[in-house]
Amino acid sequence: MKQGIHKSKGGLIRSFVGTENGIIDDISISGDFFLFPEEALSKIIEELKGAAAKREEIQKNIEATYKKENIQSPGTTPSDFTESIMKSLE
Amino acid sequence: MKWRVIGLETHDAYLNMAFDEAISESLREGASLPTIRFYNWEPSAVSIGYFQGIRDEVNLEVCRELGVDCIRRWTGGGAVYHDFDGEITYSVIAPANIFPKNIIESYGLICGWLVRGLVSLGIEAEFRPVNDILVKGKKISGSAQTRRRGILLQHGTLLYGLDLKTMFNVLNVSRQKITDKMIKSAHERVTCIQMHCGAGKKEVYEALVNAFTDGKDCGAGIWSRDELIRAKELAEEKYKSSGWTYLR
Repeated sequence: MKQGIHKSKGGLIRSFVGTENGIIDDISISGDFFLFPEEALSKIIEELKGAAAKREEIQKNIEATYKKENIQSPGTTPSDFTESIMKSLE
Repeated sequence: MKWRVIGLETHDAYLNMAFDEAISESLREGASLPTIRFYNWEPSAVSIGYFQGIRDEVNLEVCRELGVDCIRRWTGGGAVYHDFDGEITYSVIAPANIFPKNIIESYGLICGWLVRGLVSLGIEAEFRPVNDILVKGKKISGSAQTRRRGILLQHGTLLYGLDLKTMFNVLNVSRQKITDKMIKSAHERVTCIQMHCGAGKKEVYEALVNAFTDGKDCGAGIWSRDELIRAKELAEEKYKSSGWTYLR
């Protein structure tokens, strides 16, 4: 798997994404960003498993988890996570 | 509101981080006062942010050789080298509802206390969102905040001296050769108290205490027996565990 690295205003986001038939089946995200509540990162990851490995789908999926989990991440947006994931998928 | 101030103490990394969590729990239960604490790290240590991969950030082999501890924090943000001689760390643990809801504003409020401390030493410092304090455009302090179940914890480091060579050795930049150019480039981005005033570490600490407690109803405090027991338990069972350290 290729590492996708993207720097948001709030920090660096590293991601590794594995796919099968265009579907995300393995994903890890790490970095020096801030995200509250911290445990919600695992929810973002959980929700992305099984999603189509397409920019729009990924972004929508992350936005939905942000809303559901009431996530705040100063300087980092769902688009930043999407960007890091897309770089891993390149 | 009454605050407790725990004066400058020295502990290892595991107990330092465990105290922050133990106070958060105890405050939530109504058994502790909101607390401001100052501390050093012995042995020197590297702390990484909650979301970081330890192998991405830390040269574990060099840490072992130098006797530098490695710990995953409860808070996000980046990897920090906590040199025993070269910094003072603070923590603020208090009900989240006394701070602005906006995270950057709350960083600004607490970092403002630190800025006031630096200004009282004659150092012109400024808060730079999200979580840094700069002097003449260079970083002198970084902080990290978490809010869990109604409790805000913010901790941060103030650089007193700079040991860039050790810092580069223990952090993973050392996979590349540490060059004079890298050291020079870091000096252009990072600074410390010693580069701006002749105050001793004790004087700096006193300036911080004055600035952090100004306008608050504060009393010097000690750990309760329960806090000590819980902190030791968290240090052993959570912060020293490989499950936590190698979480990512």
